[in-house]
Amino acid sequence: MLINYDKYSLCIDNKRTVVKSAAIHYFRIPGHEIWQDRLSKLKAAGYNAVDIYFCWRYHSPEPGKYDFTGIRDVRALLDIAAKLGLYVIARPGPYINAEVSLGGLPFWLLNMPKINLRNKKDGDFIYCETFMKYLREWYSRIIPILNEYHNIIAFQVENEYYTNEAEPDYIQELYDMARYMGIKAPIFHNDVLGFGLYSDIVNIYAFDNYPTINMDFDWREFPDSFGVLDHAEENLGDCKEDAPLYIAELQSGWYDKWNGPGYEHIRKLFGREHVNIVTKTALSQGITMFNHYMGCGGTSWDQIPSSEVYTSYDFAALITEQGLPGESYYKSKEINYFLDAFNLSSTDLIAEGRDVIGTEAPNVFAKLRQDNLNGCKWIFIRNLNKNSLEFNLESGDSLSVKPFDMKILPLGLELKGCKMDFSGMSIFAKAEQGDKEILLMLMEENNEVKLSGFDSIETGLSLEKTDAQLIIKGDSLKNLDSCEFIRGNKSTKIIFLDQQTSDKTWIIDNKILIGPELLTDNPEKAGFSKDCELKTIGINSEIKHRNILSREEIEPPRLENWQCFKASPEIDLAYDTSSWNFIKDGKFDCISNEIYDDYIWYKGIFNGHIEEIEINAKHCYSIYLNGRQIFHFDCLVYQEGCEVPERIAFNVDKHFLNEKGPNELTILTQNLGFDRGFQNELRIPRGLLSFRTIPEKEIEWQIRGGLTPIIEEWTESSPKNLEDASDNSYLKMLYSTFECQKSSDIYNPMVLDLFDAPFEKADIFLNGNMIGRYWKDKSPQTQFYLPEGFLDDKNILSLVIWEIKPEKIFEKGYESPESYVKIKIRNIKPFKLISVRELI
Amino acid sequence: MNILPSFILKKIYQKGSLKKTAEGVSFKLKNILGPGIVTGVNFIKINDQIYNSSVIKIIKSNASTVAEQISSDNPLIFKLNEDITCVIQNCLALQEGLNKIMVELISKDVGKVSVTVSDVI
Repeated sequence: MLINYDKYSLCIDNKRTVVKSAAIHYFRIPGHEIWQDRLSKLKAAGYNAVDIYFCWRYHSPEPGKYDFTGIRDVRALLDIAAKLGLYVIARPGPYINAEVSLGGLPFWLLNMPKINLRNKKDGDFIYCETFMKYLREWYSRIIPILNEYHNIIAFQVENEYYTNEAEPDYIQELYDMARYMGIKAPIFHNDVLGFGLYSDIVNIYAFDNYPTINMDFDWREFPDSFGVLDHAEENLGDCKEDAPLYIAELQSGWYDKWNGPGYEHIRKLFGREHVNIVTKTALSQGITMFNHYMGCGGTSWDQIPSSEVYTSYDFAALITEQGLPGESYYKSKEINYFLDAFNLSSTDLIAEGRDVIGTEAPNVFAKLRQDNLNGCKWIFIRNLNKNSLEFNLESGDSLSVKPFDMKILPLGLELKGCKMDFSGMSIFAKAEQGDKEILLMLMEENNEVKLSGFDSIETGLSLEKTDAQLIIKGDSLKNLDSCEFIRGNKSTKIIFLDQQTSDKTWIIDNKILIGPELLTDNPEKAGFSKDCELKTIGINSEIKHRNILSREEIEPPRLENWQCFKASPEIDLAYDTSSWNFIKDGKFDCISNEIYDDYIWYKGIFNGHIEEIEINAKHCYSIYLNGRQIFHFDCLVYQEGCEVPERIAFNVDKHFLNEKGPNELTILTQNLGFDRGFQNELRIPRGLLSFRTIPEKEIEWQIRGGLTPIIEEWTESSPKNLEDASDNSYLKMLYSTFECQKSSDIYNPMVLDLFDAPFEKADIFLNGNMIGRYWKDKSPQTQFYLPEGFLDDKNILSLVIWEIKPEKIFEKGYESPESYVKIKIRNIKPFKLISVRELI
Repeated sequence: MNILPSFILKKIYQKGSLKKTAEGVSFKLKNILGPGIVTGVNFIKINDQIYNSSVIKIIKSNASTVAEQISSDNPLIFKLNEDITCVIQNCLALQEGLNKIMVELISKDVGKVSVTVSDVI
């Protein structure tokens, strides 16, 4: 693939191209089938590129060990992208952020002596040869894989990197390293500050843009939020004079956090308007490369998440965590289809503001650009007011813009069968073949289309005519109204659609398919969740109708064979710790002891009386004295994005003490992930951070990572019933099975519904994979997606329940089937899948 | 730690704008970073003397606001490329030559932001 570029755009194989990319995290959507599904859905929505962070830690469990097989087989992912004809924007870090633990760096790096991760310490640049050595190793593994593919159109070094003084040495070395290892594509860095950082090193200057990051506020109340985008061409256009500006992350959602408002709220907040505004504002700046972040939501399973985020990483993305199109997906499809219809890869600014709309209006943004390829002009107009506004343009045309809407409208657009002098209604898509074309437009009241230059017209509509023009008024249109303009032997048919219809309209091989809610599988399958009347329109205007009956009700699988086991024998007195390690150098934390399990057990013995315990641990913990829980706490507290350290002191109830003899202390801590290292240091330890008794006692601590059910793989072999072995009941394991029939003619994402669960906190395992952290007090998530990549015909679902608040333990009685049968698997929305070839 | 590194934050301050006025001391900030919504001004420190928000006035587009009135319910919209003037009433801490200035405010999106600069009069 030949990739050139100039200030306007990339030229791929000598064709100017608008790069319409969307981001996926393959590690959050495990399984080749899910990759195929999600990438197909992006392709169906008109994306021509996919942005992929390659996560170092996901592939490297130990120094020198790399795994690119199974769900980590990135070749399979790249094969799917190549087969779909998607370009790839490769972002192998080493740091990726992505709200993943340690920003995607391997945990083992934390134990390398004198290491400065990312050559940074306390915000200062400190070059670290050890870090660079291992980074070279990562690049030397991932880059040769990328070099096998010819559809890599851009390569990113590092991510969102800055130090107190922005030294360029590290970025330069990464650039040189990538080139030395054979990267041929243009190289960029993603400047989180939007300040032109490292633009003199890279080939293409890229920045990220998130106008709305505080979910407590409604962006509609803050019309200035889009200021960086509004001035991108002016402020950043000169960063690389010979290359296009690239928005490496253009907001199409946002992540939720522990204690956050939930994705339902975030989706509502963004609506379909936000992605429309940011994307069209970017296009108004002449931007021809953008990457919607995120294209697909995902699941932060296992140890993927940073401490900030809970399991669902839906991101209010274009496609939900469960693979369903959201409102913003359909809006993005609309924009992408428009860009497919008219290539906007070379435009110049002609006028803005008053010079376009003839007046200054508050919260209104307008630009006029000359299109060097299509020979017309485009008006970009945005209304961030709460009411619709009417505009009389300098061109003499008038239009209406709804609240929080933005439109791209043509002036003087030559079509095959006529000229579109002006349209106040947006173009949605185009299908064309030879001398014929069908233009799909979005019908809109209080707006009109003015056309001229045709020989004849065929329509059933009553149209207004002047000497020079024919005018189609939006107010008089009905859904699917059409008219055909003929000039010589060429023709243009215009079909007007309402929004609901456009959402379900797809262009496939220059045919128009109206009806499916989604397309998937390359995209050879169309999905229907309800009965519909399908229409297919060919280029010769032949229309086929077909009634589609969706499937009958599909019963979700039943969870069966419930069993309940006590899962924390470690709490018991005299538990055998002979295989445990002693803590290293008097330090408790996970890094010092090289234990990176979520759960870490500590055990120690002291003699005699204590008054008080002082402790600091992350993120939540319980303390047991002589087999009884005496304290619990969680430290999942953030202020302004920074973790709040909490050193706690509490009095010890003497009733639990053996004042004259030995006392056994047991502590269980749970690490919810490392910091992602965006605004904080990466190297923030977890587990027990400090501990002392008052009066101070010498304690020889032993340590072990992991919970017994996980270590002994109870989910994969017959569990050992510990009912008789222990009286404590602080951690329980619920175990069940279910059967699941996969079918190629149905798309049916399922969730585990814990809304009615009679416990507060649990880890959920599907066939041995930890797929969710449920914590009623801390997150709104009660439904947990069952990733298809982990589902088999016969499945084991287990939950490790930690009732951290002891008072809850005896109230709930979840050992009884009457309680835990409230845990159910549910369908979200099943889709019947039909071969697209059958339909068109 | 601020999300924004100090070398960038320093660029907000308009070098040479520090001056004594009849009211006290004033200086200017220009937002060259991105649209900002200020939900609080914690303090301004001049040469180790802290001035709280009750004695700080923010002048934007000729309109003046006492900083302590700025809150999440009454935020200060600080647009990209916009100037504001900060006035510290009855400030006596200014000295001839080099002065150290620190402004600490709360941004809606990134939380606490501290700008530390020096300027001469």
